[in-house]
Amino acid sequence: MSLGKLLERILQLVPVLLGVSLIVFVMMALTPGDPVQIMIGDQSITPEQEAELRRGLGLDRPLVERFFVFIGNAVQFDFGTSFYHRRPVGEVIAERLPATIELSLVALIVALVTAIPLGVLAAIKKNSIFDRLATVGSLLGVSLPGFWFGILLLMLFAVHLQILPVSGRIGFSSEVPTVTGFLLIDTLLAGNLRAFGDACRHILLPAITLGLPMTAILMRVTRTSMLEVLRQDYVTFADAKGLSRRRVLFRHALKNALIPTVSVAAIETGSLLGGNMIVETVFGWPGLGRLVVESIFLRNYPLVQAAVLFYAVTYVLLNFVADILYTVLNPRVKL
Amino acid sequence: MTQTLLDVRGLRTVFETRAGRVCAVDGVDVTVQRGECLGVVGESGSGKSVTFSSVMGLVKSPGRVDEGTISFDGRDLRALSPAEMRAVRGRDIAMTMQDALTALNPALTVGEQIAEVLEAHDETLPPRGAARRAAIRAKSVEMLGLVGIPSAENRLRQYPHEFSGGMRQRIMIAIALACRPKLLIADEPTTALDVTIQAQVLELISDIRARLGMSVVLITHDLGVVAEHCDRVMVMYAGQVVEEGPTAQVIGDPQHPYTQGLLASIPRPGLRGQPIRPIEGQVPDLIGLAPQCRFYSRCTRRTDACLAPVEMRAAGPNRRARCILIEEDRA
Ligand SMILES: Nc1ncnc2c1ncn2[C@@H]1O[C@H](COP(=O)(O)OP(=O)(O)OP(=O)(O)O)[C@@H](O)[C@H]1O
Ligand code: SF4
Ligand SMILES: [Mg+2]
Repeated sequence: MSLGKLLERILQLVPVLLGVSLIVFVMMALTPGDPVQIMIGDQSITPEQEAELRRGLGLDRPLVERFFVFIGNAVQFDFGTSFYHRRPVGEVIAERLPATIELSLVALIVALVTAIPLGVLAAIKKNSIFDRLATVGSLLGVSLPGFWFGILLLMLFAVHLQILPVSGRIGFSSEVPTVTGFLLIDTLLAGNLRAFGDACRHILLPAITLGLPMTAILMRVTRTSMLEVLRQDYVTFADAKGLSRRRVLFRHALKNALIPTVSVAAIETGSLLGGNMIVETVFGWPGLGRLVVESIFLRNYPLVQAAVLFYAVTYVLLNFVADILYTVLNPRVKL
Repeated sequence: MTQTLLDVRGLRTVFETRAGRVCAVDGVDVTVQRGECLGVVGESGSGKSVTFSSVMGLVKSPGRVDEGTISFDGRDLRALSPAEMRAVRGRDIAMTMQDALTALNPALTVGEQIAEVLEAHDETLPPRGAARRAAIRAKSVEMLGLVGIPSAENRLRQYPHEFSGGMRQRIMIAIALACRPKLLIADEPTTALDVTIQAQVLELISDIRARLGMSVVLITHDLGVVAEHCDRVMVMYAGQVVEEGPTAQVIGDPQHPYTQGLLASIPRPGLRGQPIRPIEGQVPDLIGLAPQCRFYSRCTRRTDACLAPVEMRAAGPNRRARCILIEEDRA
């Protein structure tokens, strides 16, 4: 990838971010509900105090002015102060981020580890009972609402069988010092295997719930591309060379079949972000997704705006990663 | 050790399609002697590739070998287990595919694609470690050198797309020959190549055949190629062999009306480089064929007697043809 292309990508980001900011601004303004009223709740304060509060939050200015102030500050990486936390938005988001990244990565790993073998198996055993079941399963996987599936898992494993925790990232008794913010790593760094196990038990259900649609999609992609690749001459030629079945399937076929799978996985990781809001809320996961949901209810404008910008940047970057992976995996495409 | 290397009897390969059962190969006999080059000609769709895919055990679903015996070097290939068959493929019988541009794996280096076939079959290699890797490397370089790819050492790390079409054809041949097979099946090794490269590739195959003493089956559309390189020739039509015999005799004095038609469409004596010009009419649909002579609809010499099944007949010493006009007593 040349430097010029990289710059081009970064420049392309500018209109995207501007557009996204504008849309969020307008949507938040159109949503009924007033942050000041929500903050006041049922406390009794004078109209003067209320006006003072409004001025303090900058909400007395017209919408257009607020938008330009926001953009002006944002380009200097200043996203304002969270109404609710009374602290810089960047700080609040940074605190919540490791939990979300950890959950997303585990979901991604769960999805890859289940989808690829299932997809390959479905392709090899095309039209078998297994293949048909996998097709139905993946259809359900993409169409089931995440919160519904999550609650189902919760009821089964946490409430009914009581073998997994209901919510949170780790039990109180397993707290370890924060180093990276990723509990799966921090517990290991602390040498506390029991706490690590506890963290694993906490992350399992949310990661499965979050990764389910992705698993379904990746399985379909793997199956389709594997079937396509198995028809290719180079697979027949590999067979004609008398190579072992394992080598033909995994070295010759899968290496090519995974090219689309990996690209789609990188792009779909962006859509995990959307899923995070629901899954984190269902499982009480203290990450960015839940923070955004709470902030929307509180009309905590600065935080929602900053978080959405963050999502947009991440999404574009992941697409970029998908492109790079595609070129790396495919020797025919020159960087 | 008998002189016959490959002996196929009554081969029948069918494809189950939505439209019905396609009988792509129907009652084909093939014999290849040791050290011999057999040419296989016939129009597109006549079953040349399917016949030899069947020999290799490479017919994929929805196709299958339905009937017949395939005996190679004294072994019944159809009775072998998949693992035993894998040991034969690439080591005893090697194949080059019709389309060299798609036969090499785009995601693997050329070096790896040569090395893996040695890895799978070559028992002369050191058992493991650096010595084994070095031996594989040396052999790979030797094979690429043999097919005329210069500075092979540096090219092992490259991917197929970094080579020209002619070079990829050579690489495929190098891979096929890496384990010194007893039989090479070369499926149209020169299509998609320009004329000079065509000649080079064919020279190369003939040359290596002479040096290694292997047998070659050369599938081609080009009767000139057959005349120049093959000891015997087999003409296929609609899934059957219609004529078979020593090249000079078949080309000099074709017995079957189809072979006669093929040859008539080529200006002689300059046979070389001429593609087969189609004969009037069309190949019959391979689904639900009538028992009659398959060439009936296109034959200028047909009679009602041709509506009965027509078997292969001896048309001279070492010659056979599938036509009622052949008088058996000439043999
Ligand atoms: N996968 C398949 N499904 C259905 N029918 C097939 C399949 N493969 C081959 N056939 C049938 O087998 C017949 C013979 O095919 P084959 O590839 O052997 O022809 P060929 O003589 O090699 O022709 P060409 O000169 O074009 O390579 C075809 O006409 C086709 O009807
Ligand atoms: S058998 Fe009859 S129809 Fe068939 S090739 Fe001979 S003469 Fe023609
Ligand atoms: Mg063919």
